[in-house]
Amino acid sequence: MERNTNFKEVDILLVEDDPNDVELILRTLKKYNFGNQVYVVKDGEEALEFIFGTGKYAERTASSKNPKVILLDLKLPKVSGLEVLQKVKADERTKEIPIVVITSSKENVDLKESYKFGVNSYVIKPIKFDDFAAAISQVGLYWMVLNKSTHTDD
Amino acid sequence: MKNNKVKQSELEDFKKIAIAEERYRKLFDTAEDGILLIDFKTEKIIDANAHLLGVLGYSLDEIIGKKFWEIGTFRDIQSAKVLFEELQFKGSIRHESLPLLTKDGQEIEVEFVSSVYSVGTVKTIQCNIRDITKRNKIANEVDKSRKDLEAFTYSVSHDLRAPLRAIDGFSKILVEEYTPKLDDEGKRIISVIGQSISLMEKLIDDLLILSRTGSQPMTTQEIEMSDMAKVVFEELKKSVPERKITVNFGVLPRAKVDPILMRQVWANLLSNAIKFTRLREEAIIDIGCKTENNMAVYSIKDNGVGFDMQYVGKLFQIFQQLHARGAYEGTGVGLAITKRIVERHDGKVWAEGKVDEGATFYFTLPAVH
Repeated sequence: MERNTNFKEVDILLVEDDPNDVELILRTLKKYNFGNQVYVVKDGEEALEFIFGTGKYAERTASSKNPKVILLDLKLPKVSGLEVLQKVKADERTKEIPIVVITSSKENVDLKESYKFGVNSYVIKPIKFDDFAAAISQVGLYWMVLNKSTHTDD
Repeated sequence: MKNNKVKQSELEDFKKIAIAEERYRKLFDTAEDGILLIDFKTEKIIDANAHLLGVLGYSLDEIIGKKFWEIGTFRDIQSAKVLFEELQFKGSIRHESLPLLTKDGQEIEVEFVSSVYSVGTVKTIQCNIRDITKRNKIANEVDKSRKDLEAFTYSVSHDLRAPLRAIDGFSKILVEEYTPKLDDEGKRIISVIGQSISLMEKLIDDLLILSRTGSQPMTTQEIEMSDMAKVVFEELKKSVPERKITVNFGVLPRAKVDPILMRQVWANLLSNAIKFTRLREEAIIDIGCKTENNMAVYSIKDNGVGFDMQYVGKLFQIFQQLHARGAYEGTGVGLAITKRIVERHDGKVWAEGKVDEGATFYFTLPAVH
């Protein structure tokens, strides 16, 4: 599966460690023409480096535009999704980036914590692919097209 | 002569008192709880029973005549002096779990109940001290294994979901992108995969519900059981619009329950009744209740395929199904969930049935007055 390599121009940051989920999500986004500006990171640590332009993403300076939306899994290696959410929402530079948690967790605790930290949407990954694809495409449509952010440049 | 008679009855009384004293002395000496008696005025210890001395590791000589807080063990308990003042106001105090030190420095947990009463003109404080160290330790262990099990179920249910999503996703891609290359058999095989995924998904959800119903704190309130049963039935009926189902609702008393959990009970029992009457031209479900021995006995009777009473014991066990897989969809967890929920409400579940002559499921709840 081809991936976006120009990480300065990223509209959707997908934080997901399960390669199968990554493939299914990318396929769906592509089908609805949101596939071009997706960048995938595989753990919470890499997500934070990308978002804050540190580590191997140092080239992404503060002037690189923020992604339009971050799709965030909760159960991630190294740094958990909740921690990523908390850090992004606590930082002035990044707190306005919409974050959609996409998770298998139906646990109330995770839902409550996510909203406490300021998540914009919380989507439980359906097992059935048709439902899963519908959920992903709706998320893409809403945050990429319908939603007006505070710094929309188009 | 007269004098002698009086003496005789005094002697009888004295004997009776001696017997009573002996009886209560035995009770005191052999009690499996620690008992401590303190003179309220002088604050000095009058007596302690053998059990208490054993638990604390003191001899009677070491503590008798001493003040309560002069003994190492009691030096720290909520400052024993405050305890005394509290007793003065309230007449009695109770601590469910109080840490104490034995003479040799071991930490133990006790249940501490203390009250003041007057014997003649002497005010006495009685303290009942029960060693609950072992009990607490076991309770902690149970609590820990319950939490472990919950964490295990949580992670299993998550980790099982991910591959299942992949199986469904990739088989759908197969259908979407390779349909021209698939013959009918190929398509049938893919639809079998799809059905199996649905069943597995339901199974994972049911397992999660089962693990939660055992542990989640309950919030109970008084509800109209007939309203709940009707709403649940109407909802279930929507999924089988083609079926002819007649439901007769009897009078159901109100019940004090956790509404979310009780809804699950109705959903399980009613969906079973609907499911196992599938082959009937007209399904008839009777819902009723009678009160016996302060328990409300709710019943759900259907005219479905029933079951052989020989296997009634298996009905409420997890993963036990009396019908071959495929004949009636289900995970074999529903009735296990029902049982657990009803038992958490201090009730019981059971069933009666006969092959091809329907089944009746019963559950009881404490009657609400």
